[in-house]
Amino acid sequence: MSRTKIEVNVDTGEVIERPYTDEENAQAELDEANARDEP
Amino acid sequence: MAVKSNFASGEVLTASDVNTYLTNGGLVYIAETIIGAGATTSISFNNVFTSTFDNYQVLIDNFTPSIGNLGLNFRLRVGGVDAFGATDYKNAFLGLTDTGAASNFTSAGQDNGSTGMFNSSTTVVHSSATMIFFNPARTVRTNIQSHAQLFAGQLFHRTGSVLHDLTTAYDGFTLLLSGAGNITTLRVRIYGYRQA
Repeated sequence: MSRTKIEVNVDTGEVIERPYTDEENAQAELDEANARDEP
Repeated sequence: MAVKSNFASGEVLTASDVNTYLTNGGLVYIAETIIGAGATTSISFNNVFTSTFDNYQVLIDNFTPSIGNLGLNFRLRVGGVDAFGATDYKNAFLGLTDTGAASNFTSAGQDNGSTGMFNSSTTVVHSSATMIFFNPARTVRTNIQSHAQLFAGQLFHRTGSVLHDLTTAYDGFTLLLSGAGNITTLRVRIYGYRQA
């Protein structure tokens, strides 16, 4: 699954959408392994 | 600044008074971001926590995920990097359903904090939160309090606290899902609490 992030730089008003970095993907895979589907 | 609230009928409201109250209002708008019919895995706000304010209010609503049964979590961040120490976020939320059942959520240590929001549906827009971040930009433990409404086949309410248990200063935060999927819709508004 390709993951993307919206990054808002509040001081400049810049908004970018970019793919996850390798480090972010690795962390996301850990997060998803610990997913919680109960409220 | 002391709040002057006893204006009397017929009293002259001076330019000085107006300027004073306009520049010393309670909440100060900082930013808004809307995701509408999009598909993003997470959203990060950089350079939002500064020395201008100690405390911040974040209003989040219009939350739908691309896959049902997902909550909305957050992480503090600094310099464009999320803080995700494995046990740094402590969560304690009281919960109640619309039929009176208890639905608490607690975690003595995990790598993200809960906004209290959740949506079991990909179409029903029924999840919102008011969050207050205390002293995120100071080198102290950040306290976060949230009041949230969520949808899990019925109405739930959660109110609770998150402690980020590190004495670290942060300049932003990330909102992310509790599992695999994308954020389809979301609206985030950020305000600072004026201090004087």
